[in-house]
Amino acid sequence: MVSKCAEDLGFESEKITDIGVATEEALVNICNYAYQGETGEVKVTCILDDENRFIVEIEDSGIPFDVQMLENPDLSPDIIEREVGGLGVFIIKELMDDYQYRREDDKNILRLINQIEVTVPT
Amino acid sequence: MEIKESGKEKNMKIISLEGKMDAISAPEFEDQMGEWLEQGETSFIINLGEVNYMSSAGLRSILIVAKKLKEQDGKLIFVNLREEVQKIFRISGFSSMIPTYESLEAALEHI
Repeated sequence: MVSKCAEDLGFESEKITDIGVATEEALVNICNYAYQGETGEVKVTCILDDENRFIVEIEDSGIPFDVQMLENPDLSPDIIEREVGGLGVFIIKELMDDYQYRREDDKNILRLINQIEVTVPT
Repeated sequence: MEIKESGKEKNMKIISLEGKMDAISAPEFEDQMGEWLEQGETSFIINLGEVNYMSSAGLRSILIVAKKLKEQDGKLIFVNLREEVQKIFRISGFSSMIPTYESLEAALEHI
């Protein structure tokens, strides 16, 4: 659904993939951690704001999870020393133009933000 | 995601993956590689030419497999990465950790 919205807004295919990957990373984190083994809901909304930004807003009612507080993983170790995991949020930060997190009414609200390039027809 | 075997070259098993390597399909890759490992295979060249999507779940499976192969003095090489996948390898530091080549031929020349 998110990729379809991005496609309809005219993003190029590489960016559509980036948005798809970032959305998956956010959803997988919610599935793995937010509800601590219980079932719970997640709401995904695509927004086009008045600053011409495409925003994927992901909302859950799980435990607080401020992605902004998470430290970046250490990318330097070799295969043996390298820790498994911890890359999801880092990939979101790297792939998206911007992201925002807020806790509101006992909900985590994560916004994945991408600027839409305006092309002038020639 | 599809996993295809394409025989052996220079004693390395050649595998091609097709489709998305995401949270749903990555465990399939891990399981299949685990099976081959149990059968005594320890060196692999994996063609990612038809993989158009890689998330951290894919990287996670690759790292788990890479660790197992390293313990057994095996080899794991990826070839033919598309731009989308190359980008994920680059930002996550996998490009400097795991050997990648632009083609199967280039990889075979360097082995």
